[in-house]
Amino acid sequence: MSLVLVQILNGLQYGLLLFLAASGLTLVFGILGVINLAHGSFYMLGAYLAVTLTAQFGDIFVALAVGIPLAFVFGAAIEWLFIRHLYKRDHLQQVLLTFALILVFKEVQQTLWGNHPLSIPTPSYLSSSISLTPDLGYPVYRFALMGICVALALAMMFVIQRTRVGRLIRAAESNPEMVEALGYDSRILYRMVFAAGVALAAAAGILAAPIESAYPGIGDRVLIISFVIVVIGGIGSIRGAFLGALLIGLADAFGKVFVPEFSSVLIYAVMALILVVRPSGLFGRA
Amino acid sequence: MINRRRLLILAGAAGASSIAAPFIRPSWAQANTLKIGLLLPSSGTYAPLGVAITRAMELYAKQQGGKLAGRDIVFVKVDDASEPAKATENTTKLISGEKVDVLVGTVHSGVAMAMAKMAREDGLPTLIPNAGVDAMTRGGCAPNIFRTSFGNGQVGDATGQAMLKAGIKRAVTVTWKYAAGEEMVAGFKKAFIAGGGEIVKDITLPFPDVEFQSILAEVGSLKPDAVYSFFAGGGALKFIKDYAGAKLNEKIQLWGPGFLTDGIEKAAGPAGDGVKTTLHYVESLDNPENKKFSQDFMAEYNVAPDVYAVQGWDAMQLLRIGLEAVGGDTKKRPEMFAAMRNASFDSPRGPFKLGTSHNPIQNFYLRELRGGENRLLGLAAERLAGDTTGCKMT
Amino acid sequence: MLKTPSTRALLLLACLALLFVALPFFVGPYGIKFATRLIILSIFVVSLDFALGLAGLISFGHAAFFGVGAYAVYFVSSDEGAANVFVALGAGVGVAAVCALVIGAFACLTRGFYFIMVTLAAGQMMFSLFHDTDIAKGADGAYINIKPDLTILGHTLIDFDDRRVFFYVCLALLVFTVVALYMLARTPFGRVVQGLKSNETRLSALGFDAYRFKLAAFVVSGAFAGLAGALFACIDGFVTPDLFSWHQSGLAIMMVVLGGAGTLFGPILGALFYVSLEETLKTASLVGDFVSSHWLLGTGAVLVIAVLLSPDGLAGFLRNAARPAKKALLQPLGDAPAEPRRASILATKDLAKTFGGLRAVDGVTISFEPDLVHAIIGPNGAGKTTFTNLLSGALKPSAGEVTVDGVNVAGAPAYKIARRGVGRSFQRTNIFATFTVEENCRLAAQARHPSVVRLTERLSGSEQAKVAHALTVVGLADKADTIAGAMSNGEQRQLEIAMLIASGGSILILDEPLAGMGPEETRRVIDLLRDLKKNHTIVLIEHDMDAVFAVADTLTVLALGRLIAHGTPDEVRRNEEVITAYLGGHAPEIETEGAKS
Repeated sequence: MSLVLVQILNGLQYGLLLFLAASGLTLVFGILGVINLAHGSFYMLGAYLAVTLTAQFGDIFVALAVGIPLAFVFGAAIEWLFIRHLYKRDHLQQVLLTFALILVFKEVQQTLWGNHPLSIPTPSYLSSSISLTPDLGYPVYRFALMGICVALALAMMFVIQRTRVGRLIRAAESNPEMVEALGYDSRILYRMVFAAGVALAAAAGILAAPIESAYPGIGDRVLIISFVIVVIGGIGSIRGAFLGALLIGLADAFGKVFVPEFSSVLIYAVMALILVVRPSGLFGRA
Repeated sequence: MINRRRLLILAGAAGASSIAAPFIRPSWAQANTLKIGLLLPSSGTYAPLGVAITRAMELYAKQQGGKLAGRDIVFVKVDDASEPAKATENTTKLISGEKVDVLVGTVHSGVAMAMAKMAREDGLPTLIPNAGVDAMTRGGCAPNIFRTSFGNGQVGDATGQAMLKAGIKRAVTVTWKYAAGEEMVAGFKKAFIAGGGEIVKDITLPFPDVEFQSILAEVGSLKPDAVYSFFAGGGALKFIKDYAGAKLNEKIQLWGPGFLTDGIEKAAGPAGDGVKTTLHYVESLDNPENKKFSQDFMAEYNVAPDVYAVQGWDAMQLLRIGLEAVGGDTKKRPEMFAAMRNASFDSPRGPFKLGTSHNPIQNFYLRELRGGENRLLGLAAERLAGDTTGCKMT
Repeated sequence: MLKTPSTRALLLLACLALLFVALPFFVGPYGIKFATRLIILSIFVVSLDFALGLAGLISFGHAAFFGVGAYAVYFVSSDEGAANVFVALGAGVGVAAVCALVIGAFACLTRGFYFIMVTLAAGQMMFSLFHDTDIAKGADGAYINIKPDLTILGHTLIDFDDRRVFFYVCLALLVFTVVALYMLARTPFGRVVQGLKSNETRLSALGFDAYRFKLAAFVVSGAFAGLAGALFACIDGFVTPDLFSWHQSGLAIMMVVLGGAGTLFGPILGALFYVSLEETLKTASLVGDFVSSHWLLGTGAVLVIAVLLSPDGLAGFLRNAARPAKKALLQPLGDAPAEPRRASILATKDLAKTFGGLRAVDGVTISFEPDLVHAIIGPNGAGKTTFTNLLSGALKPSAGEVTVDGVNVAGAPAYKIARRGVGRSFQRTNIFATFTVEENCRLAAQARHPSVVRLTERLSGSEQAKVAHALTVVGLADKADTIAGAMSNGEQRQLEIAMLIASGGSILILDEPLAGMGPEETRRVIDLLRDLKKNHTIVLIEHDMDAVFAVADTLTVLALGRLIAHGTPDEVRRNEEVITAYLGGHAPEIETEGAKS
């Protein structure tokens, strides 16, 4: 019984983390129409930023507060340098360029941070565990992480649903020409959206760092799973990404216990099943 | 138009030369130089291990004035990136492309197996400075292949003996589902069960997954005396931290082969306190060779050597013995191999000698991680030989 | 459409082929192995190009087929003796084809981004399957100890253990792959496959089952990838789950695009370039220690620059300058090829379509009789386009029936309705822009025999005549070799009508065929319609009222999705309700975005 409880917690925590990463991906694809394979690299960037910033400021939450704007600026720069050339190109070119960026980021990471796995300290005030059962504790940091993910998710929903920028983003998603015609500079909007996507991925990476530590290739798995989530939820749908992320998080957690050898296969099977029923995902437009 | 044409011609020339590159190699190698091919990872997960090995070998060469048995040494490095898929390609590159005289590699067991397969066919002197895959010195042993590190089962064996000595009766094993993990568990189980221990459960997870929470929940519910686990690098670090995070470290001892804590002593922090491991090397070993080696290594690279560096160092020691026996002539293979097989020397890890299957017979030490440092607790197993089942030297 | 490679490209390929044939005589074992690997990689990327470049199926999981091909050889090999070459390669091809069939059956349901992701996930799924379980030694990979050979009556004819023999076998198979796929692309089947990339909607409207063609192309591509995988397993006799990884798929796509997608030979150049680049940057003795230890950065940077600078890939440099269009080869034919034609009646009963709460089409019952031009008019947003989309199957009705000669086809997919003889043009011109005018019509003519397995031009005599007839009728005979996308908008509309004629539909639904046409072209189309109605049922939606009254035999007026009048033009002109709808009433926008084609 305690195993089921722990797995539900694990699934939720993993799912919420995935949601942060996947929501950035779905935004970028839904609005810019760009397939961003380098998204996993931004998650990795987050994890390594956590290393450097926690070493500098001593606390992971300060690192988060500093890291998100840094990642945002970095994302805007990447958009300006590379991504903006892709809007009018087909998917193939996007796949190619962002794939090449993965190689570049990988090398940069190796050069800057090396190949040793690097650990990020959990803040001392959160390093204790809550006893779920007499034999098993659950780290407080993981509860805090869930809380922050939920808060970030709510903040994002608020921005998109209730603010001017959010309205513009929603408008751009359904009809980009119209936004342009109304006199907004869609180039700036696109840059902001891409940067936001990078910031979200990096935020997920920073938050995950104390749990996962930072190591080369940390972004690869997140990238593929994020794509699975985007497909399940429907492109451009934040709601869909949320449900998809929780679904995958739980499927993964329980798959690991009950069918350990097939737990990865299970995730893709869930996706295939959903696509057969709904070819454009749970909340995707036909 | 002219610009474009010129650009095209330039691009064409660049393209042509780059296409021809793999086929044409500069032949600057002098007749007297000894080419040592290093098939080691300098990128990917195991890159730090590859770097440590390379450094120790280069340091040794430097101390010998760049010569072994009168021949100038040249290292030809190929990054195997620990990718088995490219292992044969990379090995071919060294053996047939660069025509090296001696092959040294590698860290990853899968890559090592592919490399050894080709080395066996070619017969050139081959030294393995890390990969512990059992088959290498069991069914897959060969007269020209020498290991200066350890066998996976051998390390497991040592840990099993040490755990029995510590009074542990019931254990759960946890590892990645791949050869290295399974062999270390198999070696451990053999020794542990033979000594009267009981294995409660074997838990595996796909390599290189690092989500351990469900496993920890299971371990918690099984309540063994101790957990024997093998992970390496980032996976090991995360396992140790999660283990402590789940408060398991308060009730159930965590044991493992030395690789569980190697290289992550500092990173583990307080979570690592109390983790017990066995290995054929501890930095604080008190013998003259280790003192000198540590000092020199520190002076050269400004970091303390680790077990991988020791293995690289000993690969050079062993190679030197072989080369000196034949006056540097690597064509005299039988004589060279005989000298290496019978070699016996003092290594920073203690006395070094090879067993019949070319796996070291060596001491294993019991260590405890505390305060970011592996502390020597004593001997876990003395002059332990590896399992040689199935080895037929032909 | 796949072009015959330019002279420059052919010359380059010939030189490369010669170079490779001669290679084993002047390079050592490493060079041969390196070249063998390159050739096998080329087979793989060429197979991918068939799906990706020709059919437009961006498969991001192609390494899955490469991987199972390799593993198939492992499974048929034993430790006792060598497997037969044909069994080994056949197993690789067969298993990969079956795999492609299963994965494709799911993936081809989706398109665009989803297709990319589904194939990516499928590849990862295969990776996990071979990596996480004990199949074939799991994550550590497995060995084929004895490589396949071909022994007949004790004579070993081909031994894959022999480096040179294996090299030449691979080279021959690469040539075979390129030639076979090239020829396949030129068959009627191949034409449809390329139509998939160019314009899938149009293809369905012509009566082709796009799903089956996609699946067939995917399987062909997967089978050749399996061949490459099977050969790969024979290089070193080592298979590992890494063969499946998405990095391999990504690199393959990269080589295809780098070399030039959709050319079948470009990817070989891409592979050559990439592999040589990586090899060079990794070789310290050539580029120095610093570069070789950061080779990944160099490779990535070169690729980024390549993508940004040359969207067409390396093959783009080898393209011939635009050749002047050749003189039309078509015989000008006046008469329609004789063919018994059934007169078809297109009718609806209580047909309705709702979008959310909006009733875009609201209970329309009407019958369109043969040999007449039926015009549908109505104010903007009256539901005309939605109505036509319901007729042609582009939209599924919410209620009611659509019948062709009394058979209810409501809710059937577009291609099935098209096969009943319903052809349509679209409001926005909908042609295969990358095909020539003649190829467009050929594809349409071919729609009468839309089976997937059509590899010869057996029926082409009559089809040729129909193409010629159609082009002559619309006045495009002299533009047969022009790329359709390069013509004026009016000409493209005429081409669309020609395609409908060539496809032999008995019911033609034309959605604003005159939009964007000049007076001369308009007159011509009106004459054409008058001529066509002799053996067709024509449903015309048009805003140009002069044209409508000039050509229509009946008028149907829609407003707010409802049928408000139907009769001869004169009757309708006097109808009170129509006058109100056009002059007095303000028709609210009821067409939603989704209802427009």
